[in-house]
Amino acid sequence: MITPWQDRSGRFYPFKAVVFAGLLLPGVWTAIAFGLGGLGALRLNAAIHLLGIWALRFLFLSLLITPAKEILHWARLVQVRRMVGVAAFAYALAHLLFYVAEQSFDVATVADEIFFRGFLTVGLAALLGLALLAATSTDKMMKKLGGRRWRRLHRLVYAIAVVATLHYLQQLMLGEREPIVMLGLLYWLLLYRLLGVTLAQGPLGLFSVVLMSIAAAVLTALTEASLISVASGVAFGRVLVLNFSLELGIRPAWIVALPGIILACAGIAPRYQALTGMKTPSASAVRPLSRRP
Amino acid sequence: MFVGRRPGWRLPDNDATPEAVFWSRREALALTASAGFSALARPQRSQAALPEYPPHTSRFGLSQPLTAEKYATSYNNYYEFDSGRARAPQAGSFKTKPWRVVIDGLVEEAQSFDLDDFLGKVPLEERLYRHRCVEGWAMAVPWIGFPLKVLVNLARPLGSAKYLRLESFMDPETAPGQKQFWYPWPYVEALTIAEADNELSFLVTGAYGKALLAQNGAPLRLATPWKYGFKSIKSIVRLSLTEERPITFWERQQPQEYGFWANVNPDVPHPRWSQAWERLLGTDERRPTKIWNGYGDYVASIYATLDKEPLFK
Ligand code: HEM
Repeated sequence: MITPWQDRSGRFYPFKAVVFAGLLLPGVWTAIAFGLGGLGALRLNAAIHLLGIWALRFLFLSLLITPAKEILHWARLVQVRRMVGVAAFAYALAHLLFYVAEQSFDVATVADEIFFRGFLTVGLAALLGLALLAATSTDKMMKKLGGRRWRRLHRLVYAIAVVATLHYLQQLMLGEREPIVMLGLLYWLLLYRLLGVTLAQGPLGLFSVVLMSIAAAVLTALTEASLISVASGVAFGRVLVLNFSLELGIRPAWIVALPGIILACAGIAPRYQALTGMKTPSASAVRPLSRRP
Repeated sequence: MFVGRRPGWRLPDNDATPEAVFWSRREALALTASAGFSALARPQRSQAALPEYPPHTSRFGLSQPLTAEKYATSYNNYYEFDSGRARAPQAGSFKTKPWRVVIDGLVEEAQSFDLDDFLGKVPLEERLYRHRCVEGWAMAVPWIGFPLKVLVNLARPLGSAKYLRLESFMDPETAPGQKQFWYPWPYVEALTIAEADNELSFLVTGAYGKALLAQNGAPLRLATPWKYGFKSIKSIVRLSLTEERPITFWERQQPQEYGFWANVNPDVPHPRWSQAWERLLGTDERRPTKIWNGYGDYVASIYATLDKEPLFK
């Protein structure tokens, strides 16, 4: 059994340990704030919100690992992918448990509500998907299923991300920023994957990543404007031009464009080093999985 | 006047301590106010000194104590000031003095007056009311104010008036939420004349023995405790008597989910959640929702002939 802070030979592995601590942090913070009265008038509900949003963030983070690895030439990232995915599941499970607690552990009401309220049914679908992936995330299960089947099964994570984002968007209040930002980041992740298997047939170049980030941002702006326009009847164009003013703060599309562009810029460094022969990226980036002294 | 008569909607007496604490705190506050320390509490001085109800302690039938002041003043939906779900509206630069109020429409004598001038003339009272938000949370608040009908009758409504339309302020510079032009600002609510005339319909200028805070709807808000909270419009600037039924803010924005009546009923779910339970601010507790939020004895008769209306949406 390897703990989240060990490498395969059982030695302490700082990189994994740091990531693991980072994954625990929002949960620990939530628990402390919950205990000390820092979560306000309805602390159970506040905890539901915090755990839900972190479940979604970690789910997205697990999807970002492969793109980040390819853009940054940082192969070691893959070693924490499963851990991040399992963390997403853990937060989602805690999210459900706090919902059950909020319903005073009245399981009949919970079941009723999940059945009758669309957004809860959708949430359950996402949670079940995450549970399936978490249960098959061990080395043993990986071996049992075989690499190909395992990878195919775990491609389900993209569908789960779509479903979980839908659960979030079903609670959208018009003008709210974060759900639209998450939708935009989902566009980015899906586009990267899609372009990778179609056009590029492999990792995207940095310039393509920048273009793709802009495309994801434009899609985000169009979606936001359509949602608001359809729900309220105001003109689509009027909402769209908001993106070019600060009247209502920075709009989601700009926030969506940012991470991809930053990643692409950061990706210049390893390529430059590779070109100038300072060091080869693979040798420096990949830590041998079982290291002997 | 309620002298010597304790209306049934008044919360029954009890000897519990939390409220004793509350009352002693209020006396302390009144003292600070008279010493001139607190500018906010100052206009309330005369009012805080005159709780028409003696310093009783009060409790709900279901042993529901008053909501702690810090929760009732920090967990609010006020989208003019808070577009997200943070529930901590920032109303810093919002000016509630001077505050003009207009009564117009189908009245014999339209009125326009400064709120402070008016408050000097009307006797204020305190009422402990339950408040039930359509989103499923609830609180119990000691409001200070006067019956809505006192104000409406001042303008002498015409016989043709059937509805009272209430309108909130409009000032996108201090209330950034109003820059969200996809919402039909300003906030508008409405009651039937019978509802407005009901003794429970209350205009609020203070809470917890102090002047009302901006996030609670300063300087003048409505409290209709048998209806979902969004009916209790905040920061009112205009009351108009009309013949036609006004279209309210949420009715215009999301007619599938919110209607004109919005009376509390545990058996009529919101499309996205059940209304069977309510969560009490400041506790981990949930409690069964009561029809008419527990005020059926005082209001159900208004609706006796309205059974074809969607009374609970
Ligand atoms: C059975 C499964 C689930 C149930 C019953 C459930 C229930 C809920 C409830 C009750 C809320 C808050 C509603 C409110 O009070 O406003 C919520 C919000 C949310 N849930 Fe779930 N959920 C489930 C699964 C998931 C999963 C799997 C994810 C993500 C991976 C997720 C992410 C979120 C997010 C991001 C929010 C919004 C948080 C916010 O507004 O700050 N949920 N969910």
